[in-house]
Amino acid sequence: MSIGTPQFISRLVTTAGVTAIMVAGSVGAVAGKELLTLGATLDMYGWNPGNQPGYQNWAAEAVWGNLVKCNSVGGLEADMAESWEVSNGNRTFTAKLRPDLKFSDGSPVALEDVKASFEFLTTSGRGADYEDIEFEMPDAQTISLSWPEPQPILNNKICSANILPMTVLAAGNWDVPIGSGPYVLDDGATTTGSEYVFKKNSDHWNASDYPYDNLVIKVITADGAAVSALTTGQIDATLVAAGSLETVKAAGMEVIQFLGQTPRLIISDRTGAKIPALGDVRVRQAMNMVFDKAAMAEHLYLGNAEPTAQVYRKGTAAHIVDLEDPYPFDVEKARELMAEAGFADGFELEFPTMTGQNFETLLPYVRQQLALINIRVTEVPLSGANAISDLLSGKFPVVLWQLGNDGNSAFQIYVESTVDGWWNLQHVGNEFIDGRWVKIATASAEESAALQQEINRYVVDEAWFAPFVYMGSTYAFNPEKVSIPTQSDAEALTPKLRDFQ
Amino acid sequence: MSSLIKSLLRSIGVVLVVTFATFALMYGNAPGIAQSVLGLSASPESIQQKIMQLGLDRPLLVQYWNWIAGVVTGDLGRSYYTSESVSKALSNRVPVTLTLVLMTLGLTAIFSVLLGVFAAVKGGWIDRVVQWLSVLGTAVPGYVIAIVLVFAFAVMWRLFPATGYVPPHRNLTQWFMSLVLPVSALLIGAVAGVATQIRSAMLDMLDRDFVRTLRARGIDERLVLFRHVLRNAAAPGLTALSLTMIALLGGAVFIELVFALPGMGQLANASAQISDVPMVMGTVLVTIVLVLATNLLADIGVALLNPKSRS
Amino acid sequence: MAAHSATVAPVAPIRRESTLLQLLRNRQGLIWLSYLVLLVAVALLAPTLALYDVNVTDLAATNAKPFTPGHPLGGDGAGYDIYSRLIWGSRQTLIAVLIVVSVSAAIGATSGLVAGFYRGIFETAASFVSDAIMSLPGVVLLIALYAVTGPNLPAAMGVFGVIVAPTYYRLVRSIVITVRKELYIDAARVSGLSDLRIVGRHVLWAVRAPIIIHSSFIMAAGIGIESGVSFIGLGNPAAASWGTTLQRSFNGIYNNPWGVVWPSLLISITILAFVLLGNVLSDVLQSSSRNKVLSARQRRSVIARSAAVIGEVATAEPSKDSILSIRGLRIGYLTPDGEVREVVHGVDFDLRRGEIHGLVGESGSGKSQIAFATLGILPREALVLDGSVFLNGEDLMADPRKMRAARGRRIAYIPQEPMSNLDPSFTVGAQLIYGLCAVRPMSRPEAREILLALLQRVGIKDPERVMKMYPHEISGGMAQRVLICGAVASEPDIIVADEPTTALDVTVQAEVLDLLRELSEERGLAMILVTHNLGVVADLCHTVTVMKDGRFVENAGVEQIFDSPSDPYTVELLRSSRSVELMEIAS
Repeated sequence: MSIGTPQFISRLVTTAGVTAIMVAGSVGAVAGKELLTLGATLDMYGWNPGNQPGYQNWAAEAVWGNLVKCNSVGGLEADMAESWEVSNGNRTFTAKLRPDLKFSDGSPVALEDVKASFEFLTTSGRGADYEDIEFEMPDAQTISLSWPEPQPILNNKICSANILPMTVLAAGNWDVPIGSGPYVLDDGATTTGSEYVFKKNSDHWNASDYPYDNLVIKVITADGAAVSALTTGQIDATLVAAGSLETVKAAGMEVIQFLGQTPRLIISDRTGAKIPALGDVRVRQAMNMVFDKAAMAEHLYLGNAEPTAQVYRKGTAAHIVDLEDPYPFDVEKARELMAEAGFADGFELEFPTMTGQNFETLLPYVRQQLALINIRVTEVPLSGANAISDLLSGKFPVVLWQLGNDGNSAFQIYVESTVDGWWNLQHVGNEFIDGRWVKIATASAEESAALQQEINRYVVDEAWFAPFVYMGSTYAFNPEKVSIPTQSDAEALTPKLRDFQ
Repeated sequence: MSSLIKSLLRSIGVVLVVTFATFALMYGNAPGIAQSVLGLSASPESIQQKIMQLGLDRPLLVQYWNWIAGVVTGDLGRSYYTSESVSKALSNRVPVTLTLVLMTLGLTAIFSVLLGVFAAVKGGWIDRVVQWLSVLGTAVPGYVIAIVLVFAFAVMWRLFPATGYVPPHRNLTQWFMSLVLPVSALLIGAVAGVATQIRSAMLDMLDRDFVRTLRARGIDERLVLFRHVLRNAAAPGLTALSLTMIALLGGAVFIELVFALPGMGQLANASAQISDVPMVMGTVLVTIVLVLATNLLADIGVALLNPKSRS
Repeated sequence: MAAHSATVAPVAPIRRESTLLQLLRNRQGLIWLSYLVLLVAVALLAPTLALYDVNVTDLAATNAKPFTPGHPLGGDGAGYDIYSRLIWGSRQTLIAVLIVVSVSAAIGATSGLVAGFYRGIFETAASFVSDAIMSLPGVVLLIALYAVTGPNLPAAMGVFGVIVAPTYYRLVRSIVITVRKELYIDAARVSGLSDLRIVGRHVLWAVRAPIIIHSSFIMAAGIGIESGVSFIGLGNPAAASWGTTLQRSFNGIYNNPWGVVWPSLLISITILAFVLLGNVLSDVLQSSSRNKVLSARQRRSVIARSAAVIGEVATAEPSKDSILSIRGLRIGYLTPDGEVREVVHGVDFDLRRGEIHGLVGESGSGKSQIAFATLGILPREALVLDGSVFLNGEDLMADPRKMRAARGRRIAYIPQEPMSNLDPSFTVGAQLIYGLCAVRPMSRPEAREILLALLQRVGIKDPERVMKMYPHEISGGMAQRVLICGAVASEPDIIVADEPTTALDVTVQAEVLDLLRELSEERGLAMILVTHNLGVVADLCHTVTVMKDGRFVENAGVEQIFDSPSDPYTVELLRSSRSVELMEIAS
C-alpha cells in the first residue's frame, strides 16, 4: 500500500483486538476536548523506533517527536527543531533545537540523543539511507547532518527519524516507549494488541495543537466491527471499507475520501529479460488498453475512485494536469498492437498475491481482461517468511499491486523507477530516468518539478506501468466529536494525529 | 502418585515432541524472515545484520536448544517483528482466550447436564430437541453461528457490542456484555456435543442393573436419578467436558477472528502468517500446556469419582 | 433382557448385497445419500451446470442481489457469479474432503491394523503418537504449519488428515484386537493361512463397516475445516471452493449480505448430510443399541393402538386368598418399524402368604418380564399393554402411587447379578443405610444397627468392615448376601428373586438358597423365584409355573410337576434340564 515503509507487511497480519471500553469517568462525557478515541484497522507495530510504518500509526506520532515533520506534499513543518536549513547542494540539514525539551522519562533532550537516534536507524530496514552521515554540533542547540552525496529525498529521511534518549536506544528495550511527543503512553491502562491509552504531555511545545487530554487507540480490524463501533459511539473515527460508506453516512458520520493509491500493473521486465514480449513497448501498451478503467472505478471500487493514466497523485510535482490517456480502453487496438509486435499468441504470466492487498476484488477482472490478448495469468499466492523477498526478488516480470502514490513524488520516482528503487523489481537502470534523478538531487523546486514531469511523461509513453485508477481509503469520523480541518499525510492514507481538532 | 509422575513425564515428552516438530518445520528462511522484518527497503547488509541479530544463522538444534533453555527459565523470547516480549504478549492474550473458553465450558457443563439428563429421562420432544441440536451443532460451523449472532444481536438490534473485549477489572458490565455473543457462538456447538454424550451416559447408567435394583428397593425416582445415576454418569461427562475444552481452544481461533477478540488464537494466526517464530512457538507451547493440564485434571477428576482407582 | 449397552457396539453380520438396499429403504438414508450423489454429479457436471466459466467476472454484476437475471444467487465484490462459483467450488471442496478422508484413513487404519494385529513395540509407539496428536486442537496446529504449507489447500487438508488419523487408528486398533482374540482367527491360523490372508479374509471384513461409518463423520469434519481454514485466510485464494466463496462474500458482507447465505447453507447442509448419513449407516451396519425412549403421550397412543387390535379384555377379579394376584398381564416392546411385539400374552398368577413360587422357563420366555412388572421396574422401552397386579386386592398397575408405595416396602427384589446390582460409587454401608432410610422412617444410626444385625444374619462375618467397603472390593457371594439383606431389611411381605443364584458358584448357591428358605420361614415371606434351573425349584419351591413364549403352560405343586407333568413342554424342559445339569457337573 505505501511505498516507503514495511507497513504493508503488517497488512498481512490480521491481528485484531477491540474493546468496548470508555476510559473511566468519560462515559457519557461529550466534552469535545477531553477524549479522542480512534479506531485502527491494524495493530501497531510494537515500540521499536526504527520499525514504524506511517499507516494508521497515531501511536508513534503520539509518543515520539521528530526534528521536523513532513507535510502532505513532502514539505517540512516544525517539530523539535524550531528552525532548520538545507544547504551544500541538498547534502546538509542543519536544525536548531527548541530550548528545554524533555523526554517522557523526565530527562532533557540533548543533541547527542538526536545523533544517536539517526545512528540507530542504520540498523533498521532503511539502514542504507542513514549510512555515512557526518554530525556536527556547533553549539548546544544546533546540529547538522551531512551526507556525502546530494539527497533528493532529504526531507523524507529527516522526518522519518523518531528521537529517543540515547540510553534507551543503547539498551534496546522497547517495552514502553520513551519520547518527547504530545502524548505519553499509559502502560497500565493499555492492552497490547487491543487498546492503547495515552495521556496528554502538557509540557509538549505545541500542546495547543493537540486539543485532547486523553487519546485512546482501539484496534478493530473487521470492517463491520469498526463501522458498528463508530456508529454506536465507541470510537470517534476510523477507516471504513468503501462498501460501508452509505451505512456510516446514514448514521450521521462524515467521510474523507483519500486517493493515496494507484493500483496498477508494474511491468518491470521492460528489457524482456524473462519474457521477451515485454521488451516490446507495443506489448506493454497493449496491456494498458484492455482495462475499462471507468467501469473498474464504478464497480470494483464502488465509485470511490478516479480513472487515471499516470501513477503520480494530483497536486504533486510530477503530476501532469492535462495528460490525456494515450491508452483508452480498446481491446481490438490492443490485439492489433500485439499482432504488430509479433506476439498475437500472447504468453504466460505469474502474478504474486498476498492477503490483505485486495486481490480478491482486483485480480479476477485483470486476469480476464489480459486473457483477451492471450496473456494467461496464474495466481501465485505468497505467504510466510519468504513472501516479501519473493515478491521483490525480480522473478516476477509483472506484478499487480495496489501501490501508493506519495505526496513527495520525487520519493515515489526513487522507489519505483530509479535503478535502486525496490519496486524496480529487476533493478534495470535507465539512462533517461537515472540521469534526471541525479539532477533532481540538486535542483530547485521548479527545476525538480519539470524534471519529474519529464520522467512521468516518459514512463507513460514507455508503458512501464498500467495504472487503473486513483483510489484509497475512506476515513469516517463523528462530526459531533471531532473535526479534521487539515490533511498532513504524505501518503494520503489517513489523517495524522495533529489533524484531529 | 507414581501414575501422576508417569503422566507428567509423558506430558513433558509430548511438549518436547510437538514443539520440536513445529520448530523444525518453521526452521529455515532466515533471509526471508529478516527481509520481512526489515521491510521492502532493506539492503542486503542490513538483512545480514538482522539474521545475525536474531540468531537465525545458527543450526536448528542450537536454536531449539536456546528456545527450550529460555522456556525453562521463563523466557519465551521476543517477537522478530515488534521486539515485544512473547511472555508479555501472551500474558495479554491468554486471559482473553481462557475467559472465553472457560466461561463457555462452565455454561456448557450446566446446559449439557440439564439437557442431557432431561433428554435421557423424559424422552419425547426434549429428547428430539437435543438430538437435533446435536446434529445441527456439529453441522453448522461455529463461525457461521457467530456471523448470524453478530448480525442479529449486534448490528440489527444492538443489544450487545459487535466486537471487542473489556478486561473485567476495567468494567464488569461491559466485560460481560462483550462476552455474550462470542460465548453464545461457541456454546451452541459445545452444548450440542456434550449434551448428547451426557444423554447417552445417562441412558447407559439408567439401563444398569443397580439402578433397577435401587428402584426396586422403593427409593424415590428423583433420588435414584440425582444421587446414583448422575453420580455414575459424572465420569464420562467429565471426560466429554475435557475433550470439549480442547475443542474450544481450537474453536476460539475462529470466534476471536469474527469478534475481533485479542486472544491467543488471533496472535497465533497473525504470527504464523508472517513467520514470527517466537510468537508462534509461544502460542503453541501455551496451547499444549493448557491441553495437557486439562487432560491431567480430567484424569484426576475421573480417578476421584471412581472408587476403583482410588483404592 | 436388560442388556447393558456395550461401549463398542457389536458388529452385526453384514451381508454385502443388502447394505445399500437397507440404506435406501431407510427414508433418511435415501434422502442424504441422494443428496451426496447429486453433489458428486454436480461436481462432475460443473462445466454444464455452471452459467459461467470459473474465472469469468462481470463488472456489471458486482454485488448483484440474488435473483438478478443471469445471476440467480447474485454476484460478489469482484463480479463473480456466486451460483457458478459454488458449482465449480463443489469440485475443490469434494477433492479437499477426499484428501482428508484418504490421508487419515490410509494412515490411521493401516497403523491401527498393524498395531492391533501384531501389538508390541509398534503399538506402543503408534499409540503415543496418536495420543499426542489427539490431545492437541487441530486448528492451532494447522495455523502453526501454515508457515510451511502456505496458502495451499491440498497441503492443509493433508495435514488435517494426519491430525484426524488417530481417530481411525483408535477405532481400527480396538476392533482388530477384539477380532484377533476371537476363535475364528485362531482357527484360521491353525488351518495354515498366512497373516495376509487372515487380515484380508477376517480382519478387514470386521473393520469395514466401522471405517465406512467413521469416514462419513470425517468427511463432515473435512468440509467444516475446509471452509473454516479458507475463512480465516489460510486457504488458497486462487481456487474456487465453498470456503473461499464464503470468505469473499463475508468480506463484502455489507455490500451484499445475501452473499454469505448461499455458501453457509451449502456448507451446513452438506455437513448435515454426512453426519446424518453416518448415523443411518451405523443404524444399518451395526446393531445399534440406541434406545427409543417414548414420552408419556406416545406411550399411551401406542398402547391404545395395540388395545384396539386386541379388543376389549374383561378385567378379572383378584383371588381372595392371595396376597398377590396378576390378571391378564400383557407386555410388549416397540420394534424399530413402529410395531408392537408382545412378549407376555395375558397371564394370570396368584401367590399366597408364605408361598415360594417358582417361575420357570427358557430365557426369553417372559418370566423376568413378569417379575419386573410386579415391581413396576420394567425397562423404560417396555409397554404394559394391559393387565393388573393386585396386592392385597389393590391394583398397583392402575395407580403408580400405590405401586411406588408398595415397591421396596411390601414387595422387595433380589437380582440376578450381584456385582452389577450394587452402585459402584458408594460403599456397601452407605447404600444399604440410605436405602433403608428411604423406605422406613428411621434415623441413620437406627438403620445402621438393624443392618449390622441383618448382615450378620445373612452370613457376613465382619459386617462393620464390609459396610465400609466398595462393591468392587467384595466377592459375588458376599454381594448377593448384601443384596438379600437390603431386600429383607424393609420387612416386605413378598420377595421377587430373579435367578438369585445363577451367577454364584455351586457351594455359595446352596448357602444362598438355604438362607432364602430360612428367611421365608422366619418372616412368613412369600416369594416369586424366577429361574431356569429346575434343581433350584425342586430344592426351594412349593408351587411352580412353567412358561413358554410369554404364556403359562402349566401351574401346579412342585411334586406334581416333577412327578407327573401334564404339558409336553414341561416334560421336555425336565429332560433337557437334567442333561444340562449332568453337563454342568461334568465340566
